[in-house]
Amino acid sequence: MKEPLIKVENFNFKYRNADILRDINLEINRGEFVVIIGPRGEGKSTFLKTLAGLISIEEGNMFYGDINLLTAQKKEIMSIQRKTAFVFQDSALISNMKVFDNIALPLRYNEIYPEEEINKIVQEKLEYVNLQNIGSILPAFISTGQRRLIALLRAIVVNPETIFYDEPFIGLDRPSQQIAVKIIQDTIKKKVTSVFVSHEWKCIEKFIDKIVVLRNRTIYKVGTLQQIKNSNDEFINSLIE
Amino acid sequence: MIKNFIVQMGRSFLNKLDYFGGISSLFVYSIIETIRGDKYGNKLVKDIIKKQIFFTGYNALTIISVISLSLGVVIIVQATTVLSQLGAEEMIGKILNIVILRELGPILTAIIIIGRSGTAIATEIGNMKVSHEIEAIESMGIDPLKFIVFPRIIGGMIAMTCLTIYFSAIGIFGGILVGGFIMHVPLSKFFQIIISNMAITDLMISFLKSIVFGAIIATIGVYHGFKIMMSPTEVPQAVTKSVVNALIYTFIFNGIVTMLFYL
Repeated sequence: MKEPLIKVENFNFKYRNADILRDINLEINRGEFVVIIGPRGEGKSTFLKTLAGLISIEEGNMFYGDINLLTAQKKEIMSIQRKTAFVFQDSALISNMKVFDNIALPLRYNEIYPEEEINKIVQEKLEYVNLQNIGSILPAFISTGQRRLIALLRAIVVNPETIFYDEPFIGLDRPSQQIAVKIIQDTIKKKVTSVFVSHEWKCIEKFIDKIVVLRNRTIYKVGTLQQIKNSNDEFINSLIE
Repeated sequence: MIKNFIVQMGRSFLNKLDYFGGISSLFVYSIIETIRGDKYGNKLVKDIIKKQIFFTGYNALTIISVISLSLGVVIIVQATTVLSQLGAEEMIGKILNIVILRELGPILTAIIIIGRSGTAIATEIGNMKVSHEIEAIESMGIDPLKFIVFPRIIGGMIAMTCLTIYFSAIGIFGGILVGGFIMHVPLSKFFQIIISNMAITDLMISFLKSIVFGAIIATIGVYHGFKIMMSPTEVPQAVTKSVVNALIYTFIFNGIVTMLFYL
């Protein structure tokens, strides 16, 4: 039984009177793995940030569960954000916090576990990606690939029900990409809902439940990977080949 | 011509009013959101306040010591020399209290803190904004007003107050020690003159100024940091604006308080 988690209705987004996104209607079910594709500058990242409550909505409705982000209070949006995670294009690790503290931040802030438990969880995560030796280093002193993996760990450490990925594979070498895919695969096993924006989505092809194609700042087509591949559309072919 | 001038003056006034409204709102909302907001993260916020106090307060002790000591010596030596010639040695205590405790202590400490910490706050937050760290914090359900703004303002206020007390203490007592040694005046006499002339009003004014200066410097630093949109080139401009505006607001408040207590 499919249970809708995110529902977008007639969503429009403007920046300085210019249309960034228009007339977006979309439904994402709980546990689904959704990939948003489209040419550069189509507003994919903006759409993802809006879904995550990072950008305010002015037109249309956007539901996360029962909460409409259009009318939600700040506290309600923050309660959603505590249940979700966002992986940023440029990692966005907190520069004045060590790698270990970056991963521990959401756990420490929410004060769910005692400090010893947090240390154990974070250490386990670092060991999982074989980066236990960089825990005491500031993000500025680690490689881009390592920063991306740490950003992924920071996202999964809170066991979120939804993860928003904004180009998580940029700058990753082959081995690091494999580790990242493994992390994502683990979240899928846990039935985490995933919304993914990436040009490099071939490596996660087998997980995809739904593809959303953006064109001219609106949704051009929605379907399963097979439906999209079989669409025989020149524009779509240029994106997926 | 005159009409344009009046329109420009009006616009400039409205911009200043808008700016004042912006920094006031930031200050008020950061406190309201921290008190009324969610119960999460209080321990982390306390840790950040401690770090801010350490950075703004403890790390500035050397420069504060040097400036306050040299200033104290100069004022004591000059005041003693001139007042002795005029036969008004009993005024030394009063003058020292007014000059160091009420006026120069708070304002010079504020200038040092604007240069050291106001710029650091604006730069740090500006860079966090450019590299999407603020967005990352928000994405975790953490309120930047509580996690970023509040600890810096409170830390800045506490550090500024402690540093002003330290500045005045080093300035007065250090000045007495060195001045007394140079001018061969018994230290006990100096101490007696100063302590007997120290009024509770002097301490209150110094305290009021320092705590408000701390709030002004930290809030303006944070405000300009947050104003940055996405380009690293905006950071130095924001820092410059934060220094200039912090100086202006600090001096205006200093003037207002001084005038009110003399009226």
